[in-house]
Amino acid sequence: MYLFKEKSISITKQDFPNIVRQAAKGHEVITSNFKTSGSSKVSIISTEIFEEVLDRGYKFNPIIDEDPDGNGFTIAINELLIHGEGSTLIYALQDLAENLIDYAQDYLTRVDFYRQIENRKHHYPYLRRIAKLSDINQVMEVIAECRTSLQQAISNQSLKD
Amino acid sequence: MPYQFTTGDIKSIAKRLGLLQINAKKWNGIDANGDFLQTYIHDHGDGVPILSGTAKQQAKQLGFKDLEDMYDFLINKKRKR
Repeated sequence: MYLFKEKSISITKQDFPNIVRQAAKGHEVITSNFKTSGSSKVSIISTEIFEEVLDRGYKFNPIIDEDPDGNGFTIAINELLIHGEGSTLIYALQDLAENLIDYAQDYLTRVDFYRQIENRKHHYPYLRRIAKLSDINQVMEVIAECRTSLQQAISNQSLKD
Repeated sequence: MPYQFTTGDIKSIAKRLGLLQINAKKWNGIDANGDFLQTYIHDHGDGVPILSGTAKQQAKQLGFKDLEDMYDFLINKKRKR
């Protein structure tokens, strides 16, 4: 069962204003170049729906590692091969958020390069989630959404500020 | 057996693997096997020991099996990977 009717690029071009209106209402339109075999398909979809799918489906799973000698914390997101560190949990989270923003900027600038790397091509949806956020505090909150100890660290820091 | 690495050790490992320093913390590049590797190194000074959790992550990000494998690479200067 395939519920979508694909449109050719020429039809999409002719009907583009209407397609955008329909997409904004929630109707995804898939278009591709029918004349070229093996041509990639492109979805025109509401940004709101796209971001909702990412927010629900791509949650971060940070792993906290406390140094046994008491020198600090490392927080890693294994699914993205990235980590941050600091003398306290909140500093480690801030460092991880900075690194994640740096990675997202590079990844989305060179997405065609990263999509060719087997163990990094699936990073796109996570980093696309980060890209829509406006500051480092929001990034920290998104990383912490599934970890109570990190949420607590953010909350304690807010009380100090 | 616990393995202790310094910032200088990790930088030297990264350089031997063919990584370049891209900005204050980020190092990346393509190793001898053609794999893209990327890690973040906090430069606290070459002799400063790094956190055990950070070393574990860097070993993974640099393509080593574990800390023992990364330590072996560090001391065995003839090893390519």
